[in-house]
Amino acid sequence: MADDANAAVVELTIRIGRDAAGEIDRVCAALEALGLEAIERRDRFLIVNARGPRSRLDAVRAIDGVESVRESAVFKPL
Amino acid sequence: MARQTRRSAAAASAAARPPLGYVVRFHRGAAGTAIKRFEKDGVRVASSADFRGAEAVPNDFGGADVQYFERFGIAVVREQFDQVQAMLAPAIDDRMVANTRPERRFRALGMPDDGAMPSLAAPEESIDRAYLRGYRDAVNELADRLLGMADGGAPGDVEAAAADPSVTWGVRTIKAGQTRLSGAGIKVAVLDTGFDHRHPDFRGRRIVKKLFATRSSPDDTHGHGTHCVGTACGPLKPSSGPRYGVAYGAEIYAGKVLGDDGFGTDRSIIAGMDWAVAEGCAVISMSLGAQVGIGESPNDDYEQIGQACLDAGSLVVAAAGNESERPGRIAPIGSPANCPAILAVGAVDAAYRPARFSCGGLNTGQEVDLAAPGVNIHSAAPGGGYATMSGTSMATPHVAGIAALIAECDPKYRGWALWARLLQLVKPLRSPPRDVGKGFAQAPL
Repeated sequence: MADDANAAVVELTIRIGRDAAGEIDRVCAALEALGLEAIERRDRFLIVNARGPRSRLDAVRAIDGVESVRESAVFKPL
Repeated sequence: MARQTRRSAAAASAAARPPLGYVVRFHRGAAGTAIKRFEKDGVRVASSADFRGAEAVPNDFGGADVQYFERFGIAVVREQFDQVQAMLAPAIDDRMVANTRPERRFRALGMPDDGAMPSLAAPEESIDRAYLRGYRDAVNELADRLLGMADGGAPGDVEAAAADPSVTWGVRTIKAGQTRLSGAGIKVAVLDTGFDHRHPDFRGRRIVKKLFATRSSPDDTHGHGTHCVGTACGPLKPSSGPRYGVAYGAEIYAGKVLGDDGFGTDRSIIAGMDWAVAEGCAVISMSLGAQVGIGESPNDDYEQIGQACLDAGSLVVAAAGNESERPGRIAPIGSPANCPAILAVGAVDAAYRPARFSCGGLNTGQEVDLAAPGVNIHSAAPGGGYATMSGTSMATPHVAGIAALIAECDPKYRGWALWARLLQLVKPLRSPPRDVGKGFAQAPL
């Protein structure tokens, strides 16, 4: 059951620290090396969106310059 | 079977409890770095985020040395005091740690020290809830009458909803019909379910559309987006019915960030916001949200994004949320409207009363900034027709339209300056700021 949860592919929102603003290339390369897919960077926001297994969350957090990693929320019209 | 004494039962219960540790609170922004240091030093760290999708969170986080609550910037360290001191020393030296205190154990009130839980009657069994509700509503109504505000509205200025059939009650009460401003030259982004640009009311307008939602058509099959664009930027003279649009001269940037099913993810919404800023939109209207619980903090991602938008001269206006069931239950403002850098809009009805569904500023620091018409709002619908909808979604584009009018007045009104001007222009309401913020949004005259 726990293995299934960790293997699940999730959408991630990765926030880069302001101190690492000039290092988004390196962070994206590290994400790619971890096997994450659909990597999209939003430089002006210091945000990167990517997709990957939940089991990689800690590894993503450990990348230097990564401030936070969240699974995507679901939004709806109000 | 051996008979268990009261004392042995208490001892067994205590032994089953996880040992207490120390609660470490980090300075804002320093938690991530501190946690990474712990991990580099071989400390086993488990994050609350790791269990977000799990059915249950194990109390000991699977035996980790440190339990990290990312959202709060707090960690619980399960070690002896001297080990905790050694672990934290470098982080304290680098001013990353704000506070350390022993972990406390909480219990239900009235629980005896031996840990045995007494049998408590559930509130439903001991208290007549219907009686309490009736009592509360009666007190509220009495207070309203004594204060002379049974209409909930603005002092001495109650509008009759059916006063002028040539404009909707929303456009009239925000005074958009009394200004010569149109939002000309101002780019307004509406991030929603798309937009029917073939609607006859928008013929000849400058319209830019972009699809961000995955597995969706480029059209507005839902209808919500067209309705919101209509309110923010609809025409001065529609092909049929009353005027419903505020900034009829504004340029329309319709980003489809919510799919045909009406739902969207961070990826599509952030991409839409990035596009709107890149296109130079002075206003970004987001009639969307995700529910937030009581005590939950704003999402740091959207706070950072909202600030970046403001710094770039784009004001983000977002719907407060529709989860309330007034008068009995008021739900906290949803995400991303609960971020301090994003303007949160509540909804009121034609008597200026908070709409029964409109969320309130229950969580500390997460306020409704202002209110606008959000009940029985007439606007455009896909296919060339019209629809009437209610929601904080409908209030939000009223404010977005007003923001475009203000932005047209003077180029200095961008970002934070535009935010401040919006709040300067509001009409105070009698309802609490928790529900309507500074008051009712008004167009510049």
